[in-house]
Amino acid sequence: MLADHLLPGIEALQADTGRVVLHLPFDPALVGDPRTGHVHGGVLTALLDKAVRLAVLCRLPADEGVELLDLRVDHLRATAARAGLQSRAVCRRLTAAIGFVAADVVEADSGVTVVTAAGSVLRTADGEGP
Amino acid sequence: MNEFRDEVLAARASGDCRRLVELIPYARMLGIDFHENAAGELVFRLAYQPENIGNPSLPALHGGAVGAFMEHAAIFELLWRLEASMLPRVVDFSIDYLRPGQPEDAFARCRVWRQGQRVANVAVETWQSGRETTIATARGHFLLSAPESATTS
Repeated sequence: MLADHLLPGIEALQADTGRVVLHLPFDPALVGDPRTGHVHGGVLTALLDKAVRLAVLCRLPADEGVELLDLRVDHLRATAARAGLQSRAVCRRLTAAIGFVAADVVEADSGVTVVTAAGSVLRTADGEGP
Repeated sequence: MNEFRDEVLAARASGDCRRLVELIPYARMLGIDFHENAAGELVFRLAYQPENIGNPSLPALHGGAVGAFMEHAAIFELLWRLEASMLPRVVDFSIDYLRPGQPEDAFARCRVWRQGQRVANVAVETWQSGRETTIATARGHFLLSAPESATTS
């Protein structure tokens, strides 16, 4: 589930009972503004998408999956993220149908928060979700 | 003002959308292009590539790819349409996933609901094989100009 060509080199530093930490190293292909070297907002969306789904998935039995219903991202600041990015996601509440997740992305070296996000995730019966 | 702006203006003058995509490394990586249709709307395309599949067992298009695609579409729409003095900067972006994406091309169009001096509000709609099957919608705010006196904390 982790390997993803849109997020080259992504790895999970932590993924257990509802808390996930992913690390994404810097890559020139992630740039959205060539003048400043800032990472594209879509990179952060893709990274959060994965972290939010994983945060719920790792609280579910193996035969269950997830479908992301919505994702809201607030971009607090732009980042060049030369040392890479870390996304942290926590499942705040899990019901029989829905998982509610809070997530953020920080610069890996400074710990400065780049974005905050909230996602709702639907539990599905058919294994690993989309 | 800057080279980037000149490149954007040259791309617009030539009507060649690919020149705009070429300026953004992450757009190249995703495999995005767009064209202006007969109605004068910009239609964006996320070209199908096997790497964009998030779940091989379904298989379904990766939600992150769809989200990143929609954010690109909004930015390109603003760049193509507006006299923006800078690359629009995303303030917030909210995505609703309506159904799983199929392993095929995805398309998007944008609607700029409001364009102020400094901020634009843009809605994005993404569909596949037939305009009636919307797979995701999104809305976001984008900064169009830098504040004159930047105070940050």
